[in-house]
Amino acid sequence: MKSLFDRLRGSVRWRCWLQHVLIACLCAPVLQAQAAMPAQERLSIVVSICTDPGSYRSAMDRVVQVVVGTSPEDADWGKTFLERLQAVALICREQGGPVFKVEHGHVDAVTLEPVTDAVDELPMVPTLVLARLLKNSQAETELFSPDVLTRRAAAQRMSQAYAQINEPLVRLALSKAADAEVMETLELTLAKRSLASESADLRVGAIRAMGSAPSEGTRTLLKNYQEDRPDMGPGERAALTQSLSQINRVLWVGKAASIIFSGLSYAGVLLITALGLSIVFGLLGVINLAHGEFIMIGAYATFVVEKWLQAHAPGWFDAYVFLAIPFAFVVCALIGMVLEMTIIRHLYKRPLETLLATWAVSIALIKLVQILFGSQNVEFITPSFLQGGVQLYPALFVTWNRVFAIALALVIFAAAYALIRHTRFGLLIRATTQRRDTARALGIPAPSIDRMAFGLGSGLAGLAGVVLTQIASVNPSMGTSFVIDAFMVVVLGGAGSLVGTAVSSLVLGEVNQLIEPFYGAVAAKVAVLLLIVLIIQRRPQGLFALKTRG
Amino acid sequence: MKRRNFLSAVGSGVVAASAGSISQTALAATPSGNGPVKLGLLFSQSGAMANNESLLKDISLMTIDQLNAKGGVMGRKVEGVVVDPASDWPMYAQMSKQLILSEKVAAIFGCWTSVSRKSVLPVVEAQDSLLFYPLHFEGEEQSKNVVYLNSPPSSSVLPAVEYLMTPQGGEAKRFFMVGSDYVWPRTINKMLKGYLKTKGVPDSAIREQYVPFSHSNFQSIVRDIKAFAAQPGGQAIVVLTVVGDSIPAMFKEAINQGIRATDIPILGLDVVDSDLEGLDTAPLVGHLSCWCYFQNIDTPANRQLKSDWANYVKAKQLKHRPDMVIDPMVSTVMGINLWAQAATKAKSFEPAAVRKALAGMTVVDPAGYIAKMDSTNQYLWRGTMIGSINAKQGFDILWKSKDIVAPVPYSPFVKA
Amino acid sequence: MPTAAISLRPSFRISSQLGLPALLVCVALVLPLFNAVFPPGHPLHLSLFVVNLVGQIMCFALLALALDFVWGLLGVLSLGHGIFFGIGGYVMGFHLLNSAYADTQVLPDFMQFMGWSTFPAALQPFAELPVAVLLGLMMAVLVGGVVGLAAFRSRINGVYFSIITQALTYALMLLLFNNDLGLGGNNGLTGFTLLAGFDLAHESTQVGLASLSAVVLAAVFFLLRWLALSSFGQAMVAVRDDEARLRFLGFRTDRIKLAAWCLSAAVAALAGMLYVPQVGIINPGIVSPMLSVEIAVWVAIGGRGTLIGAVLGAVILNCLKFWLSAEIPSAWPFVLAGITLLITVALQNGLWGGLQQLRALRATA
Repeated sequence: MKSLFDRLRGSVRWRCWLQHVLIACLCAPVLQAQAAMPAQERLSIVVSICTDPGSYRSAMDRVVQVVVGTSPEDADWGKTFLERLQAVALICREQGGPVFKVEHGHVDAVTLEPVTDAVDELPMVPTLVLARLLKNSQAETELFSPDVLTRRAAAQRMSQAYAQINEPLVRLALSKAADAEVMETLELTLAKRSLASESADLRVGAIRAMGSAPSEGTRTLLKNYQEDRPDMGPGERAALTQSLSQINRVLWVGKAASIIFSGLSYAGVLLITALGLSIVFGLLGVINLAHGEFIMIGAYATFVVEKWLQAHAPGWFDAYVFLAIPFAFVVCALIGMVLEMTIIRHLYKRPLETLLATWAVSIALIKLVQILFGSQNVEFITPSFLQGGVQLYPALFVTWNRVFAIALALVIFAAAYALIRHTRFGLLIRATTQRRDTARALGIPAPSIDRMAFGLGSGLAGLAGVVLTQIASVNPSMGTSFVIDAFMVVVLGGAGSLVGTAVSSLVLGEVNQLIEPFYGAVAAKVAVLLLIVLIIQRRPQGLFALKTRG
Repeated sequence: MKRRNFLSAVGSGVVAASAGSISQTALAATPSGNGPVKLGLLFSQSGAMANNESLLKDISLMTIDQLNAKGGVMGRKVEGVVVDPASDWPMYAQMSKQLILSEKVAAIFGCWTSVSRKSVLPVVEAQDSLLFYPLHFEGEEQSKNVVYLNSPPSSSVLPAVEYLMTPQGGEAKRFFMVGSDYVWPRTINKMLKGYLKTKGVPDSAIREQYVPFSHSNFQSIVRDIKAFAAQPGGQAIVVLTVVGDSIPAMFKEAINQGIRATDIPILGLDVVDSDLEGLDTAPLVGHLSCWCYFQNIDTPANRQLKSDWANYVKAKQLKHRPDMVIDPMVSTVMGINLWAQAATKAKSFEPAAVRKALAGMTVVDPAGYIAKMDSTNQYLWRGTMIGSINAKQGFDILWKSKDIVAPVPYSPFVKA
Repeated sequence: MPTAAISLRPSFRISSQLGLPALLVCVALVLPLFNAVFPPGHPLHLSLFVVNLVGQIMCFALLALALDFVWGLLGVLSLGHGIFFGIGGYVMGFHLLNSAYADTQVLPDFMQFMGWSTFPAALQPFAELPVAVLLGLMMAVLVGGVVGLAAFRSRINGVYFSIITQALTYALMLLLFNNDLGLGGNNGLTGFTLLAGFDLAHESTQVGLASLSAVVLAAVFFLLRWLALSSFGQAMVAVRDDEARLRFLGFRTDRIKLAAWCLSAAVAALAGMLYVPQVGIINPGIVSPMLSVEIAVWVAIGGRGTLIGAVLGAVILNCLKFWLSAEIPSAWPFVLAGITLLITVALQNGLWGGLQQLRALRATA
């Protein structure tokens, strides 16, 4: 694949040769190994940062030059300076000179020697402008780092901040670059700057480069270009149109994909919250209005596991979600079985009473959790492997926590399906619900099966709570917002049918996310609810009906 | 009478008797009686606002204890009457009626959200009582029955946005406003739009979006913010007026989708340290908030307040963090002290007399100012500070005003 | 799904149920008397706070009556009666906004922060009180009719119907919370000053409203009891017990259900209209799913199917709630849960029903 620079080079060979000479001249002073920088120089850099906002840019440039091109000792000083400034640890004292705050005290900002006298002042808080410059400068220094991933990240930053970078430095980094991805990114950076070049050919080349690197940013640049230059030449106009249409096509695909992804994520949430309900409602005929509270208890069980691991086994902390899965399942299943034994058992033939009784249990559970844990949100620290996300495609950014939630939902669904369809236990449950008397005649202990099925449903709700800790807010009343959606999913899908639950979750999740960008979250929710009511009109038993005890 | 009628009669009798007994005990504690003076504490301890408002309830009780340790007010002990409106706005109205009519409190300290204050307003106006309101809010109100202890937009939102539009602040030119759907965010955004128009910001550079209370799925909104910021026209910032549980949800989504303050700064107008608890704030460093007080400020009064609070939390084994003090807590403390001073000056606990005595009164602000009660509009003059989120779930002070700022109740930027 | 049969049909024939309306009329007279005649401080004085509370409880009792009519008699459990309560309440709110605007010439808060400069035309039809009341009742009947038609025609029954009513009330709540609709959003409707020329802040108006609520409750109770004893009532009970059989006998069961349902909606809306001026604010929380389930709990605890049980349940539970919320706030959910569980598991016919059973037992012993 021909490099960008080659394409540019091919068309303006002699001009480029001049540029090469220019680069060499500019960078020469930087590349020369200099004698150690005098302390005065360091002090003047620090003082400009402390006192003169107008000189931030030049001070930062000087620091970068120090890190990149001088003696190792000065480079270390430069790196420390950048790092301490970012950590809000530079204290500009009025008397005694500036110091850095370090772990056990303070060091002088110029000599890095420890300082013994007491320091009262608070560190300087970088303004947003300084913070931005700092970030760019750090990226500029990292362009020369030995680690290739650091260099790639730094190159990305250069591309993002193309308007404020130090161009000769970037060219230098490009000439020394060995990694293909770094080269491409740096060339794109330079191309972005070339959009403002004097030479029409360079500009055309830049436009073409934008077209092959589609993103919101490059689209913006080209649109700006289009507006600012109504009098451009035919060659430019052709290239511009072609690039823009290319970018628009790619971005449209990305946007559609991201809507589908959000739909999947929402569907995943609906699926796991509705799964337990499908079993309990569909197979047992029990309306469990406390289902949302089982979800909430599962989430709080995860919280307990997280806190315990944090205190007693910090090395295992990142695995808290996985460890919470069996714990939450068992806790919720046990509570569910107790509930069944004490209350639900008496109310099997009376669904409306069950409804009220489970509602009563739900408000008691909510209050209990409020008393034990407080009514505020509990925050979960996202495990390190779930933080952030990845830009899969232009305009499609997926966050790992949602990917994880979707994956976990599918795994849990598959496990539940396998359990109901392919194990003896599942067979017993199905037998008891479809032909209760025959099952009992065959010696199947129907009351125990009921209890265990209810426990299974509650346990699955607990698992939903575990998954939700990563993507939703957790507080004692979180269950109420999920229970109505879960019921709707089950009603639409057909009570008792796991496949129906899966299908209706998918449908409802996608419909909701399709409407949301246009009309807002509330309208989407309302529309989905009305849609379900309409469908139930035609098919009251749901999409995939299953014969139940009814 | 037949049995069922008898039962119903007994039922109504029980109601009347219990209600009667409540009013009996309240008689002794009227503002003009001899027993303790009662102050109503109208702060939720359950529901969405519980986290924040229970802090205010507890620091009120602490301040009342401090007043009593110094001999009370005019020789009478002060008693805090705690009620729980459960974050339900009509309940605030109901409870305020109970506090004034049943408990006969001398004044009410309460409310966080503007909608709760607006529910209580007709009650305090009808009964001519006093509500001391400790939160910054949208202004556009000036009732003789409310004492406004914190800043209207002219001394909070506007200075912050102005700062962000200066070169040092990043030259913001485009504004994406995300808020919870109720009076405060709507009014703030309306006022901001009016202000930005006077600065020549075109309509295309402004986006407004509202989410329901306690909304927590910000996936598509954050995506929209990124798309908005990528459009031409200059540096974009987010003006965040969501409240309560929505704040950590929004920040988490912003972190996950890679929004950093150096690219798109978020000005979270209702963000306090408690909202950052449990979040890893290293990726949030640089986002801003503005209040009259941040707990990093180093003054003797603040050090005293912080250590008093830490000791109180430990002594009463409260569920709060002993090392966290936020602006509304400080405003509440100042409010109670102001009330005590005013009552002493007026030699009476009647709201009308206290109100007169409040005009022009000063009180020490732990943020390092001397706060002053305005002589006509019952707003408290406070200083203004802009804070920047740091990596320790707190705020660093980016900028603070030299002195207290005159509050402007009715903003010229809100078009009638 | 047929619901559990109630063995209390004989109770409807007890004519001395007229005792309750009579009692309520007495209450209606006692309230203003004890409030005005005895001065504050007198042990028999009923403060404004207590009177206001009684008035609110009367409205809740009316709401419970409406639900018992369709649940106890017709066998249709609606967990969404908050919708109609809310419709009535909001319509009354619109009327009060109109009269407040006419009185003060100041736009309500939520219109100001939405940026509107004039009173919206959509709210102006509610300016006259009789028109507003009529419109409110009509809207409730209309909404009830649509929901009923959709549900009863397709034979959605039992728990499915209940869940759908919960979902509908949830949807309405979400809609109302949205400020773009111009209905006050989370702020709700506030700033009421006048009702039919009377100053709402004045103590006597509030007392009058409370008395009015008691009188309306008495009248509606009388009406519903009369309906229950009539042949229409018998048809309703027949629908509850075995709808299929009734249909095969040639009755238009869906029409019976629709008629009863719409009447219930109208009564619930009436309750809402009386409630709002006494509380002084209405906000979407009134349409929350939780409140709608609570109504069913009041009826269940009082004793469903007996009409008087609904009133009893509403009165007792709301008194308990107000009292406990003031004294031991964190105990209320447990108390409510405990009572509900006790009633659903053990005392299926509620307190009143239990009393009736006791009497029946004693009579036969």
